[in-house]
Amino acid sequence: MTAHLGTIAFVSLTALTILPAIMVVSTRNLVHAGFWMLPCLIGVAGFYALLEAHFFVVVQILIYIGAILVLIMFALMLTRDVMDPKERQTNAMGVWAGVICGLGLLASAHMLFRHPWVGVTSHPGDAHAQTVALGKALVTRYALPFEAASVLLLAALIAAIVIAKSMRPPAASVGCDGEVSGG
Amino acid sequence: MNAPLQDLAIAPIVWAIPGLPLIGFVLIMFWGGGLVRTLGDARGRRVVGTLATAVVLLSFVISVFVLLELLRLEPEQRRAVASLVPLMDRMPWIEVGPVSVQFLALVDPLSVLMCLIVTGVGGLIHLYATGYMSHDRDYPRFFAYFNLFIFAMLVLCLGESLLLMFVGWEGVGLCSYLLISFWFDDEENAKAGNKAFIVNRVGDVGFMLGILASLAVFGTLSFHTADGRGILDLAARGETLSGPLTVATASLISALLFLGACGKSAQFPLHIWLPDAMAGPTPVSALIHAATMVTAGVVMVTRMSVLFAQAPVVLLVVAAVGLFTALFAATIALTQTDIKKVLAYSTVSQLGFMFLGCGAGAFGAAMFHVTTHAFFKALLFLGAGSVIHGLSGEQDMRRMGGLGRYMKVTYWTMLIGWAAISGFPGLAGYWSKDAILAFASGIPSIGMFMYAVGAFTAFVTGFYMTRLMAKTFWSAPRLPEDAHHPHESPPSMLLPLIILAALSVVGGLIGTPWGNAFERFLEPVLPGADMLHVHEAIPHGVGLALGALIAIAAMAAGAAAYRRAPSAELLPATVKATQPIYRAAANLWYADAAANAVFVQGGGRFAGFVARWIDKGFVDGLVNAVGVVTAFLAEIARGGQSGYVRFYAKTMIAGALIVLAYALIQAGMR
Amino acid sequence: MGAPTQAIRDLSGILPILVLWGVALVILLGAPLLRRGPGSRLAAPLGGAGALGALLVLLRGSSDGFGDTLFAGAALTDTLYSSGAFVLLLGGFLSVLVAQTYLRSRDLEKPEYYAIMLLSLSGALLMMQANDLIVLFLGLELMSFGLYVLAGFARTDAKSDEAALKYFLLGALASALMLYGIMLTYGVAASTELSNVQSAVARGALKEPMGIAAALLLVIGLCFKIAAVPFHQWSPDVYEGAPTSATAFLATTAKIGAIVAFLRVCDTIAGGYHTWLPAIRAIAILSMIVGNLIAIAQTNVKRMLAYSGVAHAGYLLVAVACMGFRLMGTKGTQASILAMTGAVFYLLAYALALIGAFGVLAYLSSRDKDAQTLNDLRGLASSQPAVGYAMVLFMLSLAGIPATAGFIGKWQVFYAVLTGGDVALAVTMALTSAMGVYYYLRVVWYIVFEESAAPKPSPTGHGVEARPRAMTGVGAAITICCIATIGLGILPAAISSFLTVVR
Repeated sequence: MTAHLGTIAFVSLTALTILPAIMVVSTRNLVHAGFWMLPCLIGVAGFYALLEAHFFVVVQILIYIGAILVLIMFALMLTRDVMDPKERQTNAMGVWAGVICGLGLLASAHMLFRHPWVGVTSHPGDAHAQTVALGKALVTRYALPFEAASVLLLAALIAAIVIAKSMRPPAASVGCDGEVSGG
Repeated sequence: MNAPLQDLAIAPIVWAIPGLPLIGFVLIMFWGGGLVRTLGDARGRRVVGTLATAVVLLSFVISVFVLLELLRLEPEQRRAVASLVPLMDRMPWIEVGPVSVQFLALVDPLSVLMCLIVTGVGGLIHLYATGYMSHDRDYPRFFAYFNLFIFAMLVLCLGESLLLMFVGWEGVGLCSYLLISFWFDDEENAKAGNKAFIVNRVGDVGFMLGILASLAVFGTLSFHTADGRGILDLAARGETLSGPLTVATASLISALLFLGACGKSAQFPLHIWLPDAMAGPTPVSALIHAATMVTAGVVMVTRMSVLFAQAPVVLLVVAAVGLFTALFAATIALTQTDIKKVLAYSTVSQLGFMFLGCGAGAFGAAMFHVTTHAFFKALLFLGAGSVIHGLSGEQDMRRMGGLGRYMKVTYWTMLIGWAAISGFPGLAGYWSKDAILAFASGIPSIGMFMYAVGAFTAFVTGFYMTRLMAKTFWSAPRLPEDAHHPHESPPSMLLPLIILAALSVVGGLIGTPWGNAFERFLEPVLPGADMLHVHEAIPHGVGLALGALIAIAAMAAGAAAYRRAPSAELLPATVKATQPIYRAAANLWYADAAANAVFVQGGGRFAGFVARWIDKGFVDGLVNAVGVVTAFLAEIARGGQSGYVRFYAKTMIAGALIVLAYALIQAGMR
Repeated sequence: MGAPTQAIRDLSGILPILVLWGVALVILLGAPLLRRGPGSRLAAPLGGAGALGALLVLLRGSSDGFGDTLFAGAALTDTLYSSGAFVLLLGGFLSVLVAQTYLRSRDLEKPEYYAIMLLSLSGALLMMQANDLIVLFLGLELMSFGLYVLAGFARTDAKSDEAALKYFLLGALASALMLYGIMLTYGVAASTELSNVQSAVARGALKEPMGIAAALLLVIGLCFKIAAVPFHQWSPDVYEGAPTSATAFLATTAKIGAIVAFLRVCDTIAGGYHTWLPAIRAIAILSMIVGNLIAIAQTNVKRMLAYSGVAHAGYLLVAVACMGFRLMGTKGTQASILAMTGAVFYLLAYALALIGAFGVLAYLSSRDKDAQTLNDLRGLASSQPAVGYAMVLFMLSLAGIPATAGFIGKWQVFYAVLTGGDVALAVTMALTSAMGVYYYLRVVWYIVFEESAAPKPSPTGHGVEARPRAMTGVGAAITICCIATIGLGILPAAISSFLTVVR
């Protein structure tokens, strides 16, 4: 019975994740697209819950919905007319892309189903134990990847600033060496 | 045959033989221009020219000392290694796994002989060039390259391993490229430099693959090692790294090496670059494209004679290619009107003789011809250069004639060169050519045919050389009215001519069939000749008499023919235009056109084709194969403006899918 | 106290990375001061000091705590890492020198350039040190992010923008494929740590479809970074569009980082060679042929070098293919170790020649002119002999002419693959490198034999054209590259103590 419940939960969570995700990329209104992300991210949190990864449920909701999505919405509302609602979202290649992706998906599914999965033996434990284990992993085994990820974010941040920072027209930058304005 | 490597008292200065020209190159390259500026034009040039010549002649002196030291040893023991780096016994160059290549020179009769030729004849040509190039704008650069060439050539000759030989091999190729194109004012020279390089590439691939094959088979690249496990040591015993040396293995390696030799020594069909290479200054033609570099292939085949001796089929191919090239080039030489082109085809032809000798197993005779050819061909080229110099750059024989009285020294020395190359009895070319033909007659079953064709080629040689002399010196003057008055060249150019003429007269006497000192000297390095039991099917006396007869007949026939035609045109223009054989020969038997179509244009077209169709079209075609035909067509229909990134991404995905599909299908079939 | 604690050992193992991060942060924090006024002259020296400092730390630190896994198995230090890192950081330092002059003369200099460069270098180091596919991926991304931005650093130049966008979009696609591969690897091995992956492979993980897909997706992701056919099409556009100094940097850094990681990954999955070896061999052969052929048709030197880079990726993949021979008897093991050493030496020779060549282009560029085409090199040997002959030397080294470093590198890879007994690859390599000489020699042709388009300088000395640049960064970089290229060609043993990979 629990197995059935699990399957039902999985299927409905899948629907909750994928359908909004399709809407995110297909809707013509960018603000709508932003809002469609909300159920999608909640669906992912649901998966974490299904896997009994309690800490991640909280983190997913707090960070992705509470912080990132809100930020995206702010950015969208501050930007005007980033996308023309009349613009088509697909082109002639869409169908074929769909066919190829579909075939790829089927092949992947086939591959995954044929794989003799090894059952996971260790149980994640309760929320507290999990959090402790996670914390420990982040300062031992995963300390380096964790730090590397933060440096990666730093690099991405700098990169975004360098690329996006408004620039004086080239004529203005004529001057002594190093006099290029940072404004 | 496997005498241990000896210690030579003179070993510590062997490095100076290639080292001095290298020092000369560095000095002139970096400070030559400055010297000319600070000392003033005339004095600066004199200093640069003297320096360049002096280092080469000094190398010659050291080579002589090394020769004397070597002669003090028993013939069987004349084999030593010496470091190429001053003050160090051994310096490793490449050490990969168990293979170690060191900067070592192999000092034995073959390498010392080549050092003497390269530095001796090279030094004379340097001296000549100080006069010939005196008006050139880039005087220091010319001598820098010239010294670099001598260095590379000496590394080629002295190198103790195949790889070091390859370093020299590539080095002389590079210098040849730089020097052919030295006068880069016109498009022709540009093309010539490129052609030389492309054609040589074909040969070099063969050489490189031959080196790799030797490495795989013998597990080393050294010719001789102290413990008797060098390539030549093993091959002489019929061994490899593992098991005996089979005929197939020996054939594969020697065939690859021969391909390399064909490229460098201009054998058919890779001969096409050499005549074009004559676009360079004449001293370059004399030094690189006649006396030294082009004989590198012969030297290499001789060095590897043990392997060739165990590959009878390849040996036969070598002989056949050599003979065919000799005849083929000689017929072309009959039709050329540019004095340097005649000499160029003559060089190709003489190189063919040398390979005929190698193919007959008479490696010693081939090296003998290398030596004498270096004397008389350098002489002829320098003489031709003197003529060109005297006529302020005129190279077309149709506008020469009657020059004998203006340039006496040039005329008389050229006359000696003419007699020597034609095989006039007693002169250098007579002995060496006869030795090759005599041994060729001993090739099993087809020896007499080879001899006959070779003898005919020798006749043609005498004829076309007589034609050259007749058109240049004997016929009535045909100079254009407005031409400069012809003048004799300066002493710095005449002295080398005189010395080379003297050598062309007496140089052959070291290798006469009676008391052949030359052959005895080289014998210890040519175990291959022993294996083959080479012999002469024609008795000495008969061969020599026939040779003398042919030479005199050819010279007499030529002289008679051109005496009756005072305008020095043997055939009327109408005959020349219509006679098919003449036209074919004058058009180089269409070899150039064919090679040009295949290698040069073909290569370029193929690259363009790939760039246009394979990369953009075929890879994308794979995309189609995956099923995006419509999208691709749509993209074309929309003028291909749909954004390249998408196109690239598509290619990537297609590539990824193909790789995956291949692996999965393959796994499924297992 | 006795033995240092584990934490200190872990940190000292990644000290070069920490140095790079530290200096990058200093540059970023000091950016307002470094952007204008007298401070602007300090940005490049700081960047150079970062790369050089990391190099010195690497050389000093290679004695203690060596051969360990760090961070409980996330990273490791071994000779493959240390030799690769040596090449990478040397290349990084030379690239800073090139950038210093080029950016200044093109009015592009900003302190962020150097910070991003250092972060990118640290990403490549992380890739080389990775003992875990997650770390490898993070390193790859960290490296790539920097490269994307550097490619688009000339923001007023539409070509540079385009290059950055193309590189980013296609790089993201490649990263996605690779990440998918890592995920599938986790599926078959239940771990992303390389030692666990290796034992999973030994148990036959690469016989299952999922394992096959995982291995090949990893291969594809790395093939993109080194620009192997058919994942190469970004490279000519990016090489051409990016500012020359960034091209020099991204061409070498991406190749060094990805090849070392590639060697490590393929060494790990050597047990399942039958799945990936055919693919790598095919990609290697295709790259060698296509790269060399298309390079012939190019007139833009940067594009030509991009296609030549494709060919070089092919040669390097030959070394990677040797990893597959590791479990085929003693000869095979020997071949795989020789190939690692050979590949690292090859990378060094390639980096020296390539940075040198781009350095020459940078040297010739000025505010109004960005030297890129063969015509810009016309007659260089007579107008500026030192730079001209330096370029000739770099071309000869790329072509693999003996007595240059390039020849030694090629020879080592040749020998390795021959030891492994793969004649087809060796022959293809020999044939295609002979083909390649043609287009390198064409550059030599333009430099030495063509008449300079510009008016000739007066024979008495430097004319108006000559710029007193010899003492600037790019002059130093060209000099170092020249000396090292010829020095390593004649005395490769001089550096073998750093570069020999021991197993």
